[in-house]
Amino acid sequence: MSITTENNEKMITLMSSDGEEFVVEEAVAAQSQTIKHLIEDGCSTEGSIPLPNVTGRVLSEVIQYCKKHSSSDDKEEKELEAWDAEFVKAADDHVALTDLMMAANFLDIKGLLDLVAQTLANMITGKSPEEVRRMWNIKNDFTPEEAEKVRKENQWAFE
Amino acid sequence: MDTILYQKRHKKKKTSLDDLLCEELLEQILFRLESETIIRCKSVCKRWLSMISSPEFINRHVEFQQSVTPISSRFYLADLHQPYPRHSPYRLDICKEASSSSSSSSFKSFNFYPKHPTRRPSWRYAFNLVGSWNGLVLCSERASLKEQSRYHVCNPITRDWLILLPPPPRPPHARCYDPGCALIDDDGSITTTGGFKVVLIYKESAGYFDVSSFSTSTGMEGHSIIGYDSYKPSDECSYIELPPPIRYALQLYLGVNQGRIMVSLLVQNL
Repeated sequence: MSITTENNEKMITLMSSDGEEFVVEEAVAAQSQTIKHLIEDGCSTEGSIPLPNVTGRVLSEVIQYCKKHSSSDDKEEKELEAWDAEFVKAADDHVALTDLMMAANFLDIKGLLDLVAQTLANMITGKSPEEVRRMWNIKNDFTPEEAEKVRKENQWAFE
Repeated sequence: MDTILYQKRHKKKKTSLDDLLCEELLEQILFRLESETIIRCKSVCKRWLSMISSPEFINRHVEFQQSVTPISSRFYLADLHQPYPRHSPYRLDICKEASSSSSSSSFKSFNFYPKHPTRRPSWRYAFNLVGSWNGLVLCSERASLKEQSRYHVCNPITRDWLILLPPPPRPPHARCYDPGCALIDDDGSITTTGGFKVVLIYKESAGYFDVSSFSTSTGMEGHSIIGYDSYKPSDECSYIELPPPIRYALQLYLGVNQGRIMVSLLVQNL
């Protein structure tokens, strides 16, 4: 196992949209390409890095993910996959996942974005259009005639 | 856990996914879905329908699916050498390879029963799946290398087959067909009952799509895509002119939107 070099590691302070501060190792924060670029541009030297699009609650989850993934080089891939599965399960609600996805997109963390998008896709797989609508709370804006037309054209997928 | 908080908020606000996600992120989710689910999702709402129907989305879906599993590993045609009409001569296996070891591999198998009586047993050679569109598959088949391919449209679920009229003759300098094919019916929408058009693209050499015409009515040579209507004799087929020769095109995709055939090219800048 690797020995964490917490004492030597440079620390970065991230500030969420609601003013919560998180102190993390630079290597952890740099999993986010957005933050990495900010650090490279010297934005981290003047105190904390503000992240106006991410709330503290979401940011803490994102950091949890980044921590796990920055220290995972010598860990088994399977263990990491299992951890990822548990991670998204803990937020098994589409609104929570959507928040995570938007944060992953803004922070440019490809692994997290892929993970969440795939989780949301899995939630749709095998569902009928009615179920998808109910689940995601989407309004059915088709007239009965339009709905019938779309359905007819794609009949095979409903069988 | 934070989950409770999320649920509360969800119940209170009744937030819809559509309100939250921008087009780009919604796409990120949708193009991870398998074709069958995608098609079903067209019925969810108008926004999803228009997004899923757009050629740009279709291209990205294809690209994504190919990046996950190469198309050759997702489509298999097996049992090709059993002569017709032996039991179950064609089987289309759509297999999604598991990314790691044996976990979560989704596998789907359709048996093809060609119903068309004119099928020639000798045409079992070179039977290829060349394109799929909206749940239908387009297969090409030819008796020998010299012979022009014939095209079949099949619905793998209902096992209905349709053998299309022969395509116009291949231009002399064209070496092979590019497997990019689109199926559309006359009004541009895709149905399982309507007529079909097949778009053929000839490939001159690697990296250079010479989408060439051989117009039988004018005898003119040019760069165009040949759209051929399976319900019309081949000398009545129409041509779609393309801008100057497409050089250095790496990949070519076809899509259909509002009755128009859309061609997307992945072009290398030199």
